[in-house]
Formats: sequence, structure tokens, C-alpha cells
Amino acid sequence: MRDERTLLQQALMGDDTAFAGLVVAFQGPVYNLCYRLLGTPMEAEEAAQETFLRVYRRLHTYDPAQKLSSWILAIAAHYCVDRLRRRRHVVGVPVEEVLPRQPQEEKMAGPEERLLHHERQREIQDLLSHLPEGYRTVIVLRYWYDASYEEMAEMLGTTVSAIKSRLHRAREVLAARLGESPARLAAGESGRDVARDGLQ
Amino acid sequence: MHAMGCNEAREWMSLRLDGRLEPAEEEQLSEHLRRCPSCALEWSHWQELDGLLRTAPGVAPPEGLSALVLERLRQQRARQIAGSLVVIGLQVTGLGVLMLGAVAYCLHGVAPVLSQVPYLIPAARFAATHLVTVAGVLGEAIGVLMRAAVSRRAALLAPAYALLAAGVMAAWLRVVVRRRPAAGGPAGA
Repeated sequence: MRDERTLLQQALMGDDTAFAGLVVAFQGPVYNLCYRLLGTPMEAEEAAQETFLRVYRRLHTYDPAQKLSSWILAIAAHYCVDRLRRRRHVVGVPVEEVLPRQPQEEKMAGPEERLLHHERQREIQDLLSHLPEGYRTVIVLRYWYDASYEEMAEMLGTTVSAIKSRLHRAREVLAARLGESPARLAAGESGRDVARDGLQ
Repeated sequence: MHAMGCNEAREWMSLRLDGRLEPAEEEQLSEHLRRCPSCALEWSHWQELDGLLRTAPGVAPPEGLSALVLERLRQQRARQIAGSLVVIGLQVTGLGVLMLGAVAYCLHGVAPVLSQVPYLIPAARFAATHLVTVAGVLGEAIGVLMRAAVSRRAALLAPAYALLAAGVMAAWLRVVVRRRPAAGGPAGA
């Protein structure tokens, strides 16, 4: 199988199949990021498509010194943040009731486990929805992509100290929110393998 | 070792969760948490949040995302090509009409040109009538300008004008063609 750098080079030469290969390689992380930032499967899908179209248009600007996954995720994050800012001026969107397909669903034993899993998803998304877009982005990059301060600073075009500050503020808001919550979330299976799929 | 305040402790909690504290700082924070019940309670919330997010599930992308992206890419390319062709077509038509009008007026005057209108192909009559009329008016305006500049050399300058216009058009086309990526490659960002 061709590696991602080769796919990128071939896509630059106009090879659509290679570009489709890049999309397949990064669709999991990109979709997951869009979903965590935007909160609804429909918007996440649209944003993921738009992200890849932007990636295609900017292929020739990619700097090989940068991690390809970071470069693509940065494009996705910037697009989603812009979208959130525009949305804020239109109308507040509630947390989506319809949750996206879960990768673990096939493995789940019964309806109780699925219900618990969906409940957990909803609660996490509800927590995230209380964060301003800048804070939400660093939380998602930190927890779902294990991005370091330095990586986040590069992706978001800011300083490490700004990232530290945003993470600190975001955690403060979320911990306060969690402290107010009457119900605690039950522990469940980790599905972050999907989010990180293709990032190694 | 200085006594840590609650604000500083809260800042360090975040760094501790990311493994960014030195061992001495870890110890300092632990000492503060042992002595400050309110920070200890907050730290328990931070830990709970951290655990929750660290085990948060990922979501799977919808089926066929790559096919949808490629389809949108093709649609965008088709729109770009169609748009470029329309613009080029309009420019070429406009230039042709201008050249025709200028040359025709300078050589024969506008009346003979207009007199040919009824004999044009019926399907194109409406458009042609208007184009030739506009060309005649523009040609007349150009002729007036040229006569004002060099009164008796208007007829000689008309072809020069046409050549100049064609040159500008060719340069413009060259720019457009250069900006289009070869072999369907990516366009500029």
C-alpha cells in the first residue's frame, strides 16, 4: 500500500485515485474532529467534505517538514471554528439528539450497553457545547488526538503559552460544569482508536 | 519552596494533567492539595473530567465519504471550466464585434453595415442586429476619437487599433491559460 506522502505526491500530479486514498486514510480523524467541534453528524460530514476539498486546493502549499496529519487537521479545525463563529451569529444549535454511528456498536452486547454508550456520547458533546470555539478546539486536539502544546500551537497559529492558557480555562469551565452535573458518567470502552486511526 | 496560592495551584493542575510539571512542582502542588480542601475538591473534578475525556469514544465517518469528496471535486472542476469558457467566449465575441465595427466604420461608414442586417441568418437576426448596432455606435465613437487625434489617418489607424486589441486579448488569454492547472492538478489556494 502506498504511504501517505506518496499519495500526496501523486495527488499533486493530478491522480484522483491517490487523492481518494488520502481521504480514506484521514477521513476518520477529520470526521471525528469535525463532529466533536460542530456537534452534529450532518454538519460534521459536510465539514469533512469541505476540509478535503480545501486540502486538495492547497496540496501544493504543504510543507513536508510538517506532519501531514497535523496539516490536514489544522485545515479542518480552522474551517470548523469559522463555521462555529458564523453559526453563533445565526442561532444557537442544541446538542444533536441523533448521534453518529459508533465504531463499537457492532461489538456491544445488548441494548443497555448501547444506551449507556449513547448517553455518554451525548453528555460529552453537551459538555463540549458549553465551551467557546477556541477552548473546544484545544480540548478536542488534546484528548482525541493527543496533540502536544507545541503541535497545537503550530496547528492553530498561536503560542504555547496561549495553548496552556486556553487548556487551563477550558478545563476550569468543564470541571465546573461537571461538578454541577447531577449524574456522573459511567466508564465505558475507549473508542479513541478510531479518532487516532491514521495518525500514527 | 514558597507557599502556593490557590490560583497558582489551579494553573498547575492543568499542567499536571498533561505531564508538564517537574517532580519538585508536583510535590509542591500535592502539598497544597493536602492543606486546601477547596482545591482538593476542584482537583477531584479535574481528574474526573480528565478521565472522562481520556476514555471518550471516537465516532466513525459515514460510508462513502471519499466518493462524495471526489464527486464534489469533479463538479467544482466542471463549473470552473464552464465559467472560464463563458468568460473567454464573451471576451472573444466582444473583441470581434469591436474590431468589426471599427474597421467597417472606418472603411465604409455605419450605414452599409446596418444595411446588411436583414440578410443575416434568421436565427441569429435578433442578436446580430443588436451586436452590429452596438458595434456601429462604438466604431463611430472610436472613429471620432481617432479623427480628433489624426484627422486623415483614421482608416490606417483602424487596423492598428484592431491589432492592439488582439494583442491585449492574446495576453489576457495567456494569463487565463497559465492560471489553469495542467492535467487536472490542484488550482491555487
